Amino acid sequence: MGTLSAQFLTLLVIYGLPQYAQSSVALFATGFAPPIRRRRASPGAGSSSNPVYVTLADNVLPEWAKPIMLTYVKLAVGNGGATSQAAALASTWAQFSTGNGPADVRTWDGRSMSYYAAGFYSCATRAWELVTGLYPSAQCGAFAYLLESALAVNGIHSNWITVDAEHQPTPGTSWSMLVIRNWCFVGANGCPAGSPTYPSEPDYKYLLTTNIGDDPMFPQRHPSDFGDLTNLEGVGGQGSANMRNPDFNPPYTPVEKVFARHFIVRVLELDGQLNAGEQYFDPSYGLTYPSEGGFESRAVSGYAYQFSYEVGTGEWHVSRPKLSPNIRFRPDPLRSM
Amino acid sequence: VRTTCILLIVLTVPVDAQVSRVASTEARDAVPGFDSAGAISLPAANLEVDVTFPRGKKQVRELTVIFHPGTGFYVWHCTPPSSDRSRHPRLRLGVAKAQRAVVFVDTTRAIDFILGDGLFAKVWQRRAASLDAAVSSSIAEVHQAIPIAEGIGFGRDYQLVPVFGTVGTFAATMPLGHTPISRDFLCDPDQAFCPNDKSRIVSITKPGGQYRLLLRNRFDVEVLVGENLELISARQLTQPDAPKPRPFPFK
Repeated sequence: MGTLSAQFLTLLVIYGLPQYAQSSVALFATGFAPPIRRRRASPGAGSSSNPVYVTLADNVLPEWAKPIMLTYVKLAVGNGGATSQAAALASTWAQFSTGNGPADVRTWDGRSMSYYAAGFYSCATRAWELVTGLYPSAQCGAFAYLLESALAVNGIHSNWITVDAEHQPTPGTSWSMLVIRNWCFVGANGCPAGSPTYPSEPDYKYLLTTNIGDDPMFPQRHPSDFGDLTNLEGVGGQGSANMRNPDFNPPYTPVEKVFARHFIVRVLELDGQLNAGEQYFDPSYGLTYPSEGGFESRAVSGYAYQFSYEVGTGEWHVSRPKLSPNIRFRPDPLRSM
Repeated sequence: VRTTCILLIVLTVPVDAQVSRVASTEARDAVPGFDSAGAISLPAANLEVDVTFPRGKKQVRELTVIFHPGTGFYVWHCTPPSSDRSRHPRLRLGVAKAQRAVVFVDTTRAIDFILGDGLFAKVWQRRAASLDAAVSSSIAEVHQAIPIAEGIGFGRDYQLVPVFGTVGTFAATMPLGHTPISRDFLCDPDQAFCPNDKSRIVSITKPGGQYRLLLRNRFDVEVLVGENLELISARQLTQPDAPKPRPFPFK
C-alpha cells in the first residue's frame, strides 16, 4: 500500500463493500484520527494494514459535532453490509443494545464506555470526551450525542430528546426529579417492613435521603441508607456489567439514579418513510420506548421534590408513578443532527 | 388482672409529643434579610432539638430562629440536620446565609421566602421581646405542631408561589398566561442533574402592595407576589452565560 495523504481522508461512500476490501487501505473521516505518517515509498519499506470503513451515505454531522471520531465510524459501519437506513440503524443499535438492555458499547479499539461509573461531575457530557477516554464514564447526554453521531455518519438524521418529569394533570413544566429503577419502597412486597415517613401526604409519602451538596448519590451510600427507599440493582447502563469494583453498591448498576432530566434519541424517518417501529432510542440503558408512557413504565421508580424545609438538606419527598405518564419528551433542535 | 389492665392501658396510650433542647448545641449568628428600607442583618439562633412524636418515633431536628429586634417578629424552621455535622454543620444557617431562605419584615408581619424546587412563602405574625424569648416560643410552637408534623413533616404550611410550575401536590394558582420559568434556571442544557444550591433570593422590595423578588441562578428572574402570597407575574430578566466551551482539543 502506498502513502495516503491527509487530504485524501474523506468518507468513502460505498457501503457494503466486501470484507476483504476493508483490510488493506486506510480509514475514515475528515480531519480527525491518528495522524497518518507520511512515508516515502521505497523498496523494503514494508506494508501497513488499515481498515477501510465504507458508509451508507455522506455524513450529516453538523459542524458543532465535528470532528468525526473513529468510534463514530466504527459504530456506524458495524459489520458492514447495510444497504438501507433501516439496516444501518439496526447495525448501529445492535452495538448499544442487546434488545433488552445495554450491550456494553465499545470504542473502535475495544475500550468499554461506561454510564455513570462515577459521579455527575466526573462524567463526560460530550461524545468526544467519552470516546477519547478523557473521562472514565459518561452522562446520558454523551451517549445520546454518540448515537446521533454514529447515525449521522451514515447520513441518518435524528432528534435529541430531553426527557423531563411533568406532574400531571397540572399543565406547565415542573422540576420534579426522576428516580430511576430499581428501588425498594418501605412496606412494599419484598422490601423492608415499615411505613412511609409522611403517611398523611397525598402522594409524596416517601422520604429519600441523599448526599448533601451537588451530587445526591456520589460518594456512594449504603443501599439501605436512602431513607424509605433501598437501592437495588438495575436498570443497568452501558458498561454496568464491568462494574465489579466493591465500592459499587449494588453491583452492576450505574452510580447515579436520581436525575433532573434524561437525554435520548428519536429516529423519526428512515429511507424516506416514517419509522414505524419504536422511535425513541435510549443509548445509555440500551432500551427503546414507543412513547412517554413506555419510558415511565420501563425506567421510572418515582418522582422526587424537595419541599420548603428540605432545601439544602439532601432529603426529598418521593411519589410512585400514579397518574401515568408524568413524563414529557421534548425535541431539542439545537442538539439534533 | 388489675396489673395486666394497667399495663395494657399504658401500652396503648400514645406517647406524649415532646420537644427538648439538645444541650450545648446552640449557636448565635446573623443572617441577611430585608425590610422596606432595604437589606438588613437579622440575629439568628440555631440549635438541635429532640422531637418525640405521638406514635413513638424520635428525631433530632435543627431549629433555626430568625428574629427582627425592631418589630419583635420571628420565624422558625425545624429541619433535618446533617448526618455529618463535621462536614455540614448547621445546615439551615447556611441556607439562610446563602439567601436561599430570606425574611422580609413588614410593619404588620414577617414573610419568609424559601427558594428550592419551588418558591415557598409563609406569613409570620407572632412577636417576642428578644431572641431568647423567640427561641422559647418557637420550641413551644414546635411542640404544638408535632401531631400534624408526624404525618407530613414540619413546614408543610408554606404556600407555593408557582414561579417554576407545580411542586408535588402543593396547591397553587397559576396566573392566566403565566409560563413557568424553565429548569434552565438551574441547569446547563447538557447536564442531567441540576442542584438548586446556587439559587438565591438577591433582593426583596415592596413597591406598592406587592413584593418584588429578584431570584438569581443561571439568569435573573423578577417575581411579583401579592399580599396573599399569590403569584402575580414572573419574568426572565437576563440570559444565561453561554455554556463553558469544551471544544475538541486536538489539532
